[in-house]
Amino acid sequence: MARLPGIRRLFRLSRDKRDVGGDVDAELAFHVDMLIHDLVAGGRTADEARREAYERFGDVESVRQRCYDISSHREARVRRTELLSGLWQDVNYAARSLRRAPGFTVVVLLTLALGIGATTAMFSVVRGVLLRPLPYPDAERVVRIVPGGPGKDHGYLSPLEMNDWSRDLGTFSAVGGYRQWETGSVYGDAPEPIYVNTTHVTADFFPALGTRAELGRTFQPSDTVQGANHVVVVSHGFWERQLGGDASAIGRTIRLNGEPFTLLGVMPADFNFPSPEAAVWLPTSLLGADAVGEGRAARWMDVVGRMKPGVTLAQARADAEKLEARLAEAYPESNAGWTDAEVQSVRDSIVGPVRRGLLVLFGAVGLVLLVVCVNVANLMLVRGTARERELALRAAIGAARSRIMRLLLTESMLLALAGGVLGVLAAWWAVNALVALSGHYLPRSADIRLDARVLVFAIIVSLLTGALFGLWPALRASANTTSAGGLREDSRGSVGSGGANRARSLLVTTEVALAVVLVVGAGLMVRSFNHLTAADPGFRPENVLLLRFTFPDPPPDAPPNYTTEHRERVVQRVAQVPGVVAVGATKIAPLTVGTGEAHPFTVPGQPAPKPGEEPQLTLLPATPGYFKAMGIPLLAGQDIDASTGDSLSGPVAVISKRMADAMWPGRSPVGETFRFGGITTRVIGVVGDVRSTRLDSIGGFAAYVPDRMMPRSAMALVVRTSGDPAQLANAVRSAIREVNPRQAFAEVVPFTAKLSEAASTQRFFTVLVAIFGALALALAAVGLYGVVAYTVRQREREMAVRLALGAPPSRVVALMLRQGMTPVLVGLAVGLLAAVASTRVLRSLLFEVSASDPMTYVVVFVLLGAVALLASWVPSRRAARVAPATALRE
Amino acid sequence: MAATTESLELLQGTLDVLILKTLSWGPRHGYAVARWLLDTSDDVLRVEEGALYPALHRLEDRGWIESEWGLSENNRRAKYYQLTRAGRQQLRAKAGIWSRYAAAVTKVLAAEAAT
Repeated sequence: MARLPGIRRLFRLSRDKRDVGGDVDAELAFHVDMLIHDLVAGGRTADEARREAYERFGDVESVRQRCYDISSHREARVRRTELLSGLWQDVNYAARSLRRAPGFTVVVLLTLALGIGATTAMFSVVRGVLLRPLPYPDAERVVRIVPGGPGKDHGYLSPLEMNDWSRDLGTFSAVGGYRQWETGSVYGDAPEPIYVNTTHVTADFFPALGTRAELGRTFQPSDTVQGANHVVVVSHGFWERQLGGDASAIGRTIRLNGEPFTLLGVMPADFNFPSPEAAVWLPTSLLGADAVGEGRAARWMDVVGRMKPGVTLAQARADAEKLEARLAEAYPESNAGWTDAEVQSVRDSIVGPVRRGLLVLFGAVGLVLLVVCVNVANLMLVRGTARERELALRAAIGAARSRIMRLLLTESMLLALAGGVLGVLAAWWAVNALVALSGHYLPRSADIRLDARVLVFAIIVSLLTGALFGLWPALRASANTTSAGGLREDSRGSVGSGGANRARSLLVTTEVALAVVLVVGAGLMVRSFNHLTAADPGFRPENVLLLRFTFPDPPPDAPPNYTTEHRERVVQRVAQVPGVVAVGATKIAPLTVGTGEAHPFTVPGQPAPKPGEEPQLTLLPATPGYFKAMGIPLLAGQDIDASTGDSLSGPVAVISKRMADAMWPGRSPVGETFRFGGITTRVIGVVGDVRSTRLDSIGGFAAYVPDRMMPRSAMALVVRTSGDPAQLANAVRSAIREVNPRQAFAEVVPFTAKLSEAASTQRFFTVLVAIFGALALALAAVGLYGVVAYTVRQREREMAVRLALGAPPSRVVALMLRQGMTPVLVGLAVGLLAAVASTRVLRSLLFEVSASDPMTYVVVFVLLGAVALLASWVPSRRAARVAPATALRE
Repeated sequence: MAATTESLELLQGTLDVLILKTLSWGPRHGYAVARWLLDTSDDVLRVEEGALYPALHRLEDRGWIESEWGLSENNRRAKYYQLTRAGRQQLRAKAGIWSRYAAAVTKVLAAEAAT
């Protein structure tokens, strides 16, 4: 040490804060007085002496100031060093004493790592999905606008309407239209062309989002006019994968669907609108009337807009609805009834569906962290009791209560921070596991990562945790020492202070109550998930291979039946592949990319509903053998076969059971007719209902018409195989390429994968809630075990006396059990009540399970009761095994 | 007058080493340091109080001396300074430099007189 702090400081004797100013004054005054004194002794009068003294001294004030500056600077430095070395001393001491209790330290650190790790990992998810700003400038001003018309919950705009919207919405600085197509373009040459996810956009699409190209530029109005519109903007991923990440690619020509396009720009890597799959953006003006229809009623565009600064969602909505009203008046035949608009922030439209689930999970992990705190506090209390003598000794030789508290709190903080470090390591691993578990179906899962803010969060959580579990035990322990009871009390013989036991009981109660809430929540979610995955989808997905693709456009000189015959040839060719049991095709298979085409319909002979209130059906084409390949049961009538649907038999359909029951209750609909789009269609059969879009609901009414009645370019081919469907993927693919040489595929998967995907979000939530519940249960059991074991050890002598006096061992065990279980039962009761109150937040996440499902509550009560009984019985047994002689002699 | 101002810097270094020397015989308060310097140098070195006290505080700040309040010879509270171990080392080093410096200056001056 270069600078000795002075003897008082060295020995840390208490000393008041130094008054630097007073010291300097006193020192200088002493000097002047001494000078005067000497001058007087030399023969001056008092006045003369005084005058001369001050003259010799010069400018007292300036000297004083200089001395003061130097000394106060030094004083501050000394105090800082002292504080730091005091802290260092405490940390050192705490570390030493923790090393002396390795069992305690390891248990506490693991517990903390679990709690802090889980919380941090969950926060990374919440931050990535819900909090991290979307990658657009002023992202909160970017909104989706959903126009609403009669009987439609999701409306689109036609290009003509889009022009009006772009021009006339005063609350927006830009309004753009877009439409994303999964199989929009084919890129590359045979034999392996690929589909490129394509979004057609209007000129105002990019300005509405506000993102600039990373290389080159986005579209200008002049790029969208006919003749100049063979231009393309590509995603960062497409540029890297297909164009080799070459910066000189701008201006190059790339071929999509065999046509040349000039590459205008590359978007940044984080730009993922409308979806992360978006790969290329093309002008909407490329889409001809044959693809999207024409006129004001040909609506197919989604709408995205940028609100002007200061505009609220409500104002934007009012503005849009005003415009719609005007259009409805001007163009009644196309726009009557189209007067609603919904305006939602882009963030809500992306993450809205998972927000509640994520917040529930975050709440659940918070409860787990609380259980962790309670558990560690409990361990600290036990340790505090065991250390009573040591602390009392410290107090006796003069350590102030605040000093002892500081020591204990340092220990807690050291544990919390070390636990936090372990927790962050655990979280780093867990975040990857979470993203994998979410199966990338959690929106924005690419944005989930441990970043600086998550680390700051982890540090804050660690410190709060340390304060939470450390403060109370420290207060208690330091309070005990001041009474000096610690030294006198013969802790071995006593039952332990009543206060400490009450405190531990209270902690057990809290822990059990928290665990009950979590386990009930987990139980509900698991039951719901079981219902969901056990729910009959309406078809048999096992041993089925699904292939999704779009037929190439027919050549200009193709005969009228070209598409129909092409589709039939594909199906026939695939049927010849060895190992194929049945083949069928439709336009959109269940649980893939939407439903069929929606049509209002009527039943001749039944009372006509008011216009606009007709029931809706979804129409799908089906080839002969589709139902067989899918395993959709035929309930009545006949299947679609090779002869149905030709011009002779007239329009026929196979309808779903739900439609049959609703429209022709109590009798067979076979032979009856219904009308949609001006066509009278005869029902020839009834098939089972299919969960077409979600596992948790059967859609509305479905009608399947012979494929040749409804030839579409999109095809979903289902192939039932005798063995593992994945094995046949290549054979089926090449069979299709024999018919369509340059056929690309959007998806080739076993159908079971689609079911698993459909349940992926539910699975994500369920697995996490189950993990949290299990953690809470395990922690509660460990905590209870620790408390009972400790009490038994403390009361060994009492037990010995009881046994020596003839109490049967079973009575002794029962006594300990009763003591252990009392706070548990209170906790169970409190927890069940709290669960009833809090699991209501789960209601919207549950499928076919009520939030107050009595079964779950009973199981949780029994389970927790049993675990608690076990956790207190194991250590209680020890009480009966005490050898009286040994225990008493000790 | 101009000469005095010019030598101030030199004087400051000188003052430090003189204070350290003064304290090498034991703890003293500021007034005693001033008196002792005056007496020992036969009244040649009159230390200005305006410079002495800041110098004492500065030396304390550097850790060469430390202070403590005590009672003076006439029973008044006075601030006593004493050398620290670092101060003693500093004194040895500075004193050596000073002696060589003074000897060199003297030698040069003497040589000049001889030519």
